[in-house]
Amino acid sequence: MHLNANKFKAHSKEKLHDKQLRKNLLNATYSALAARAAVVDEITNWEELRNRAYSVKRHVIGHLAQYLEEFERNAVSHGIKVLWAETADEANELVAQIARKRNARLVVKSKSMVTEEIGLNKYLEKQNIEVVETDLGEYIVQLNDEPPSHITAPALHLSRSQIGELFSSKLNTEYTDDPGELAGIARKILREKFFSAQMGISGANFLIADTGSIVIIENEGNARFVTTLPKTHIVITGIEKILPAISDLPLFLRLLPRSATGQLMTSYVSVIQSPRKSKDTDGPDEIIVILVDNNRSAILGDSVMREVLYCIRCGACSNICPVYQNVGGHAYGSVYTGPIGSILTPSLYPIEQATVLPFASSLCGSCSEICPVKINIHHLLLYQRSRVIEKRLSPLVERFIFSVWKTVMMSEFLYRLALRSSRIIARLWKRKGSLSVPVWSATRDFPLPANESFHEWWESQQIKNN
Amino acid sequence: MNSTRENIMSRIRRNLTAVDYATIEREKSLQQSNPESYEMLHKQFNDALEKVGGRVVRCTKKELPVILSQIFSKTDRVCVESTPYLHDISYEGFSLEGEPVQSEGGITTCDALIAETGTVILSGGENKKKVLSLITRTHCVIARPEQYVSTLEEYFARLQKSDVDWTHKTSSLTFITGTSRTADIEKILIKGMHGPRELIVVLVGG
Repeated sequence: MHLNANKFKAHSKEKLHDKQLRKNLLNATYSALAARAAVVDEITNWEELRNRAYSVKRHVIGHLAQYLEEFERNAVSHGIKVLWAETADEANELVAQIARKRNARLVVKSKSMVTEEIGLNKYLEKQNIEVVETDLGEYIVQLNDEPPSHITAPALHLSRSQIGELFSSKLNTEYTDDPGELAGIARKILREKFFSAQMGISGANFLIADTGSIVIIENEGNARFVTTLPKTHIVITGIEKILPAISDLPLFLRLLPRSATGQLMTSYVSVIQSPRKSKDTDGPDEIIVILVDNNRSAILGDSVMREVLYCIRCGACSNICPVYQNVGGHAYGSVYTGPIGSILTPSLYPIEQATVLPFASSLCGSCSEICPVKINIHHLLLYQRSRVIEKRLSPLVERFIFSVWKTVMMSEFLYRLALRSSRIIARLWKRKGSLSVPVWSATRDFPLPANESFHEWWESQQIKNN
Repeated sequence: MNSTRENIMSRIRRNLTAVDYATIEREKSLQQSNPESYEMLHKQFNDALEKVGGRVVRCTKKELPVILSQIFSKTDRVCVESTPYLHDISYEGFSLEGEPVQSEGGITTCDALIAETGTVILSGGENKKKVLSLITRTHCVIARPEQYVSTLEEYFARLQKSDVDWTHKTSSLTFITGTSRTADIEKILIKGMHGPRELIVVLVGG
């Protein structure tokens, strides 16, 4: 996807004035948070689970090459083909080649963030291949010709009446805003697509090294269709999705559905082992896994940022983020939205293209607290900020202000002088008990400096006591 | 192709040598829960499944045909998985002709029942139609009491201990917990999005 992250400020201003959007966002994020809280409170050892998950992820990322090799070896032994792609274009071209060879005209897809990241749909459409998203939320945003606005709830920014209007204009159906009827319309259309598609494309939530399994988690059943009916099933996923052993899976199944949708378990979990066997009555004839790097191996080289690769894409940090709750996913201008997106995007892409995102946070730390694999998100936000500063990518005015600030703070004389003069200037400019500072004073007070600094007060106390 | 793989692998190795990860061990998976009585497992499973919109019916093998004809009283198109266990049942009240695509109801066996979450585990295997549990509006699972397992951790532990190498034997495992659902429109729950609207587990014997 085309990155548009540096326009965050302009985008968010626009979104803040969209009352319908803000209503939709608050409704969706608050109900997601309430559902999550109910099922997290039920278990007594949530912290222990998070710690375990963190240790598993730290271990697997630290031994990534070894586990990727183990996964590849085991998957291949079950008849699964494993391909590798260094860049987005390479991955797209691999898929296009496979599609061309099999003369695929119609591709059905289940939800995959990596395919959004590499812009697969547009790439295939350019080659005259019809690509249909089959997750209801993804289908809605595809009809609306926009990217998903949330990692796990793609159409969270739209209301039922907006979706009703979209369906009636794009699908020529009678207008309805009943969610059940809207789902029914999509079901009917997509059911036909499942049966006529020559190729199915899915992502993967986990790849299991010791059993060579592909694990896909979902609620609708569309991923099961995509991975069962078409003759060819392509799995596109990032190299960081590995878990060492199948015995690690239950732990992550305790954490992911609870964090993402407030469920103890999603409706469906598919553990895929092989293409159709000789006596199987259905299933794909071939399964091809494409392991996408796209800068992930470079992130490994940064011992601090490496932690961002632990993410299991639950979207909980977006739901709880006060910034996300007010501006929504599209303001971020990146596939990966919310707090995790603000740390991932500047490392996945050249940081010059996403200098604003690390600052799109109040650093309240809720994201770190809610993260099921304990990624220290707000610390990583600070770290990304420091990278922006060190590369001198922050605005010129800001750099000037901070260099003056630094000079003053490093000299006692200048510091005292600045204090005194600020009091004099403040008194001269005073209006109704607070200062008038451009921009700042439009929405809040700028309090006057106190008559006496703490230093001065302390010194006067010392003199009195002596 | 091979060079792509080698490029990625060598970059990973190079970038990881900066820190000594050899010492980082992951914590072992959780302790398995203690074996529980059948009644306890049954109650746990029943409660969990009801919470996600499914239901459990208990009956003897003799009663099974009647129970099934009650479940499928509103349709005459039901498809049955062709496993020996299900072949021996004398079905009444509905026809078993036709393909899954035209069927309203699907009857399958299962590999295990996870009590904690109300999960049914199906495995792909000989003559099993995977779409049967997906394409029909009502999915009926015929299960036996000895298939109860308390947690998913225990299920995998049993699989790993078994003499048969499941990773090569089966083409897939499918965990089913309740009905197909979506909440993509205003977080409102809609059942039967792409798959079944109804899930019924019939427990035979016990």
